[in-house]
Amino acid sequence: MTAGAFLLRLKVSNAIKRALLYGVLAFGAITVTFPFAWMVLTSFKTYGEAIASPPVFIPQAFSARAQIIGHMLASHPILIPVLLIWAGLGAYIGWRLRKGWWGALYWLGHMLLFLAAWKVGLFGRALQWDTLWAQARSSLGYADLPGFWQNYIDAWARAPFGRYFVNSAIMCIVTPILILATGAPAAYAFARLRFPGRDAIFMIFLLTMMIPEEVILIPNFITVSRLKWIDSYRALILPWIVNVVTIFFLRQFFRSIPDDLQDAAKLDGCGHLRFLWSIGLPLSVPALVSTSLFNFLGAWNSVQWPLYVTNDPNMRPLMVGMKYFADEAGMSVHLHNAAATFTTVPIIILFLLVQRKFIEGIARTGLK
Amino acid sequence: MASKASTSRPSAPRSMVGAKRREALTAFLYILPAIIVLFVFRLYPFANAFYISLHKWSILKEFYVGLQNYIDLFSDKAFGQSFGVTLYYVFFTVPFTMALSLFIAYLLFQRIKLRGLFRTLYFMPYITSLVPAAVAWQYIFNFQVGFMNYALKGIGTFLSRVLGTVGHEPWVYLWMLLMLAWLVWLLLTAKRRAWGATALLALFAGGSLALALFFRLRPAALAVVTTELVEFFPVKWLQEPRGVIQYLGQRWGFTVPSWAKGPSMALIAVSIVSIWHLLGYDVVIYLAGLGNVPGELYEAARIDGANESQVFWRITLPLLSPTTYFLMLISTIGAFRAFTLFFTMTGGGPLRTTTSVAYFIFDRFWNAIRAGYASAAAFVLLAVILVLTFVQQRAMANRVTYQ
Repeated sequence: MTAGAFLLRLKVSNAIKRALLYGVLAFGAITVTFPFAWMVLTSFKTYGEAIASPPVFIPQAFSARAQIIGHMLASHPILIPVLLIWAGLGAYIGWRLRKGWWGALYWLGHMLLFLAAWKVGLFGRALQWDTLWAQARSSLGYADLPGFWQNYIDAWARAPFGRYFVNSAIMCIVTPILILATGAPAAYAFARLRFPGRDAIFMIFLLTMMIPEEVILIPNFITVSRLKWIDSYRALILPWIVNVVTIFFLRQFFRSIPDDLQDAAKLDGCGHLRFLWSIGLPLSVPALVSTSLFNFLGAWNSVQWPLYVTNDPNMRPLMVGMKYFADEAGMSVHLHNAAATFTTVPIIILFLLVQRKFIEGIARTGLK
Repeated sequence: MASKASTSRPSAPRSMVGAKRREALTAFLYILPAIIVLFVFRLYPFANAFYISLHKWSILKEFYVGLQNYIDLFSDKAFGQSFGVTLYYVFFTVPFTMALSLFIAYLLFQRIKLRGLFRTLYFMPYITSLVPAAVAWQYIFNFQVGFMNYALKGIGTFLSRVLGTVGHEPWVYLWMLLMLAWLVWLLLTAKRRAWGATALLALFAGGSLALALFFRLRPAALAVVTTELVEFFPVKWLQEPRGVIQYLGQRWGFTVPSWAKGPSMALIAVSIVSIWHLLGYDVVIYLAGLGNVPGELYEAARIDGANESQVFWRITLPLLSPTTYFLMLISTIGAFRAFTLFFTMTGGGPLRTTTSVAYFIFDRFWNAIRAGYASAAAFVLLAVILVLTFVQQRAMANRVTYQ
């Protein structure tokens, strides 16, 4: 075999390998994301479409609107080149402005601008969006097409979701803050102060992690109801404002601050509280952020404890409210999926914004 | 405060003592809030739970019963069943999730584009709350209109059509020849591969060869299989209390003893969702573990002429063992304590076949209002988890390779 033929074989086998690699990864990614896609698609279906068998893939809410827009363009072909030129211009500007996501974002804004102008009627009354829309809609026979967001509006109206979101937001913002408020000084004391029984107490702290929730939920519920805290934010938040994992990681960070720094600060008259606040905490921002993200997520996803301590629907956090909604609204799967979508989307967006920090936090520490 | 102490250090040893005492006092003040909360909401309830478990206790304490709750538990069939359910769940989800995530992490670790995108996509289910996820999955697993049955039925029909051609089409001979050649080649070059990889591939090649031969010779069996492939689905998934093996037995006419029923279809559905949920977490941990394997080792192995599968089985996998051990430990504990998915997807049903231990505890407390009994069950669960952790530690500690 000549060298050329050998190299060619290597290249071909490499290409096959690459194709297989990407194929498998893409298949896996599609499988994993499919439930999300199906949930969102279902949330736009009518009830009839949602329970159709074989299943409807593209709800009429999408296909009908695509048809209407197609009809609008077809009946006024002048719009097509205008739109194409404007889109191309936007793509060019976006590309020159900044490659990647920001360019794409610019392009989106660019197109929205066009739509806004169209809607306002900048291209003349005859070509105005609403007029064309109404014409196309009636000529296609979609006079009684339900509103695009109808399922979302209906689902939102069936339960006090606004309250649920507020409750969850309060719980998920206050809990991590209080965890830091109790955890940072404790971690600091364990890391940088000397006192009798320090290691023994720290060991006890670590041992409390071994106690599973199942064991303490019942007595905690009894405690909280004796304190008459049922249906209050106190009950939702206070039992969870110490997180030993957080203390553990903050302690690691505080220990890594060089002693010289503390000695120097001491000479300048800086006490422990001051040192913790203006040197210790700023130096450990990465640890603060990643542990808080996890504490946030933990509070957001908690179900069992909030279920125990809330009787009043207005005090339920989102996940408990969602659970009740899923149980109560009968077989209306399209509404269920709409509610599932709007309860999932905020956390997914948040995750996409902070995902690098989050995933690196996990990879570094194994936090859960 | 602190500076005063340090300036007066040389002259007076007594103020040293004072400074130390002051430091200790500061420290205690700093840990005091954490201690109070930990005491009130962790340690005290822990002791209290044990106290409760020794009583007949519904909403309020009734009377002391000693260990009666524990004794009752061991004769409670529902409790035993819940342990069985949990064991099935653990043995189904933990190995599957870990193997799958190792596979994906290994692929992602190759030099590929879009790694960040793939990692994000695989990780998304872990971020999603189980309540909305359960709603979405319930719809997918719905036995009348759900996507799962639709897809599986489609795949079954397709496979049945392909298999149906085995009876008469000439491609079968081509396939058999191909498999035979592959098998021979595999066995001839077995030295170059780890034996596990050879065995796996040979099993596939040999198996498909044998199947093709069998079906070619026995068209009647082929007909049975092709019709079954079409008719096996729809399955009732979340409404199906029968165990998988029991189900197959009733379908294909063999009797199954009651201890070998297998997990119910509903439990399998819940397990699938659980694997989906936890996969991304394991992938991320494995990716971190792969990143910690020193690159020189790979290079050295390559120079010595090791091929990819040898490198994987003999270098990567052993060096990943701390990661694997860590994941196994926390996933097993997590699976033993699984509650939310059972609560949101099935509510313990059908016929209690998805009542995990954690759900059993919840159910005894919340629905049956038996705090004492539920607490006793929680302590049994705790004991099992502790024993399991200990056993795993013992069994694995020697096999974990640290660099």
